[in-house]
Amino acid sequence: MKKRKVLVIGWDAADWKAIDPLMDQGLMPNLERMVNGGIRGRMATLDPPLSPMLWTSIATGKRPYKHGILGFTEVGPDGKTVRPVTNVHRKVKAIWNILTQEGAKSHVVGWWPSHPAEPINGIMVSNFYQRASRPMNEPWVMRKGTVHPEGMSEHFGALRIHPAELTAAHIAPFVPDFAKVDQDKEKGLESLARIIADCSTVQAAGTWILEHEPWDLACIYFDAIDHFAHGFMKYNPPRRDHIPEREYELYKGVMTAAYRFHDLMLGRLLDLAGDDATVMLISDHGFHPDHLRQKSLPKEPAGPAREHSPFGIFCLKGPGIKKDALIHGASLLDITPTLLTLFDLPVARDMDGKPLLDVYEEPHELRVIDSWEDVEGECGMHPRDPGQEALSEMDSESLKQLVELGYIDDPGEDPAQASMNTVRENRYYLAKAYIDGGQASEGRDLLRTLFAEAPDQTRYGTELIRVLLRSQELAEARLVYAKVLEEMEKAHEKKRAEEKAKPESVDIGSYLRDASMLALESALLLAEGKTAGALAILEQLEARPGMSEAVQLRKGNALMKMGQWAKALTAFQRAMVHDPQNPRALHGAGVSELKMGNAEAAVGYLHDALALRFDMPHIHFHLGEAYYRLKQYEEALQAFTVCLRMSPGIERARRRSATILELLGRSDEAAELTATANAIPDEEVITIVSGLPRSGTSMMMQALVAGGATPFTDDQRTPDESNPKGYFEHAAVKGLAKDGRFLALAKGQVVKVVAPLLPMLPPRFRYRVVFMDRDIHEVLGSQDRMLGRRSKKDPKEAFRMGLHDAYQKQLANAEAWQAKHPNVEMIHVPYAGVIADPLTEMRRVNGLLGGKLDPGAMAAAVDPTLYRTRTSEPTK
Amino acid sequence: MDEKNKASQRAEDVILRTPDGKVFDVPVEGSLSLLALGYKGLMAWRAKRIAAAKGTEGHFSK
Repeated sequence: MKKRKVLVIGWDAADWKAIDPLMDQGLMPNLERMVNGGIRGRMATLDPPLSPMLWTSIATGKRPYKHGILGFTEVGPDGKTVRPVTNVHRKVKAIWNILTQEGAKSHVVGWWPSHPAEPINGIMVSNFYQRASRPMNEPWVMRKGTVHPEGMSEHFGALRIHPAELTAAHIAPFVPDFAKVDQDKEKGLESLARIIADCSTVQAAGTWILEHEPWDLACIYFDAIDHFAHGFMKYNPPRRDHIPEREYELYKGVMTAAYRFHDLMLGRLLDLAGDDATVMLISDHGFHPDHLRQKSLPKEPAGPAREHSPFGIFCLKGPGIKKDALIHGASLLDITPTLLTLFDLPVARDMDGKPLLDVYEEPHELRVIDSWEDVEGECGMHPRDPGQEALSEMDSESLKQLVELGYIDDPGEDPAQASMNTVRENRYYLAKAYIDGGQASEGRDLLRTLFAEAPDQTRYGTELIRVLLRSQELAEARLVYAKVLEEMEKAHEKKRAEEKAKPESVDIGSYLRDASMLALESALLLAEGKTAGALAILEQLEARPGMSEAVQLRKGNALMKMGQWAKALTAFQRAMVHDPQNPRALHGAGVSELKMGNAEAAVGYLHDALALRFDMPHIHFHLGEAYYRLKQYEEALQAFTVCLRMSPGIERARRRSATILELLGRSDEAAELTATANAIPDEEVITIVSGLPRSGTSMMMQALVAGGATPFTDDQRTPDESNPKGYFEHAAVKGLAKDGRFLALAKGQVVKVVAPLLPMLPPRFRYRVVFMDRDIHEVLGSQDRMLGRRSKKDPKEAFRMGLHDAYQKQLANAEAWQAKHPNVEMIHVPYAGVIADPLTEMRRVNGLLGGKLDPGAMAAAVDPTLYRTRTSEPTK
Repeated sequence: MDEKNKASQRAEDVILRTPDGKVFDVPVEGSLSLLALGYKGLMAWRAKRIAAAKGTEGHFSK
């Protein structure tokens, strides 16, 4: 392990959009010093953007479904009480645990969540440390578990600052006209005093540790910018029409003062760390300081998180770190992997982030291990059940703070109901985390359960609709939409009755769909192929205030689907007027330009998109395509290489890279690249045989088995007259919509999955799909024959318009699914072609599957006599 | 004597000096700069309050 001192400072919700104008005015000289001497960039957050989940992801490099911290609150060990989230449910090691194992000294102050303090090699002061729960003239008890080592509790207790200690000298920089505030009526100053006292307490503990203790890693977390912003960002200049002028004049300077105060604290920490230390300043998300500020917030738990912006800050300076440089595409998941490289420790493959190697002046040699979780030795983590005490007064005070901030609903008096709500809410966040992490089927399954349990929570339903749209499960999405509408109408009618019953009776009228439901309807229509209907709604919504950006993005996507690239570009550009930093708008504009042949313009947009979201492989792919069109092959190759590193399944990028390498005369590398594609271990890939029912899928299964493939089957469905050689099915496949976990057992094997179920395949696996194409009339005829209804009739007579259309739609859905999922390679195999020339078709299939099967044996397994339902003679 | 005052008794923690070595006269009402200085600024401010023999009552919170 490399000897290095690393100081990590967390500023919850800090945003370059707020900071840069202040630095330009010289109001944040210490941060400016750090920026000039180091590297800076935006840091992408995760969804949901809730701080305890995010700071745990920062400290572990893992997504919430891996680390286990899922919300602001949790149910206590008695199963009845709700308390602020602690660290006892964290399932994985944080950076300070890893360093403890490596014998390094780590100190942690205020990290959210870090209570109870972990017994690490160093000092940990938990996030329950700073909050005063009683008036100043009463004892301020330090809760057990706040400080490790416990013997230092008294010492750190003396460094706490009570809000009532503060004077006008502390408040005036925030609110110069504080004397005009009637404190009996307005709580603004009290709230300010509390936030100032809390963060000053953290600063006192942090500075004491840096000055008195040896350290390798010190992590000091401040939540104050987030708290200041939730309370006072609405007053930040310029004043918006709905903000009362008096309040604006009183509080308009709070955010500037808040950032300046943090800059002062930063200066002290930089001085104490010394020039030989490496200092990292980060935030978990941003906070809109501009026209993107919300006017009102939804009345739902964690509603204030809507005020967050998706990009936090990242700044790093120290020995060997680039100076006055920019870094693009950082994610908060990258922090722990990057910290590990700073100590020259290996990065773990089970971490979801990547080390930011671009921060180094010299190339950094990366070491990798599978997981730090398997490394044995004392790491200072809590045992699974540390015997937590039940709800205390301190908990209720912390809970009160979360309620005040709007992050949670008041738990109320009924403990059972409060516990149930907490568990349910955390499952909702877990579902969102799954979806954000690309594990949509897990998220979808959880949302299904949640919406079934609590249909009145319509946000569960709307989130479910979004994920169903992504997986092309349109019929279910439509049903859920109807149910959500029904619930909204029910809630509206209840409110209407209440309003009518009031003395000043008012009829609020019948339920009308709001803008977000209309936007969702347009998304549904778009997915259903009803583009004109979708566009009509979007155009209707365009006129509504506050809907501009979202509507333009949807409109752009709809127009792209219709191939109307110029109009799509206009829509994306309009979205950018609203928010120039929207990566989806920039990506859409880039693709539109590319499709119109304007590769140079596309490059500009796509680079801007990547500067915001470097972690999106499709943007790299389109950038590669744009450079390819411009014949800038080296740049194209670089873009495709990054794309493939992030998503090795994007075969188009691989093929294009091979083509470019050939063009550059690097045939050996081209051949190597192609070989790499073929060398993906078969045991990691699931082979799928798919198609409409009776399109030859059983025939293909038989052929593959004859060629040496292993079928994933339970043999429950035995051979019969329709399939005398067997069906090769597995009953679990029918339950794919509910549970796809069984597919982990099917790696390296061949599974039969009918076309309508393809979109339900979990995206976390890699698939090679052999899709059987057969004339729909023959399919219908064969089905009729199998069902014994019209066995003697011409299959064309069996033509039924409804079923025909449904099958056409299923085929289109399968295509759309394949196009959207980079983890899927698919070839179409014509049924008639297999009958006519089995060897050629089987060679093609073998090519897709890595060339390890026996095409001769596969071809020999094809029995043309079973081709009993045909509309024409097979081609010879 | 409460815990805060016990901690503030440590003389080496309560004397603040300017960059040119002069003793800094801590304002009795405190300041954000003192809080930003961390534990040292806090200790110095508390020591000053004791020395001035007047406790500062809370203005903005109870």
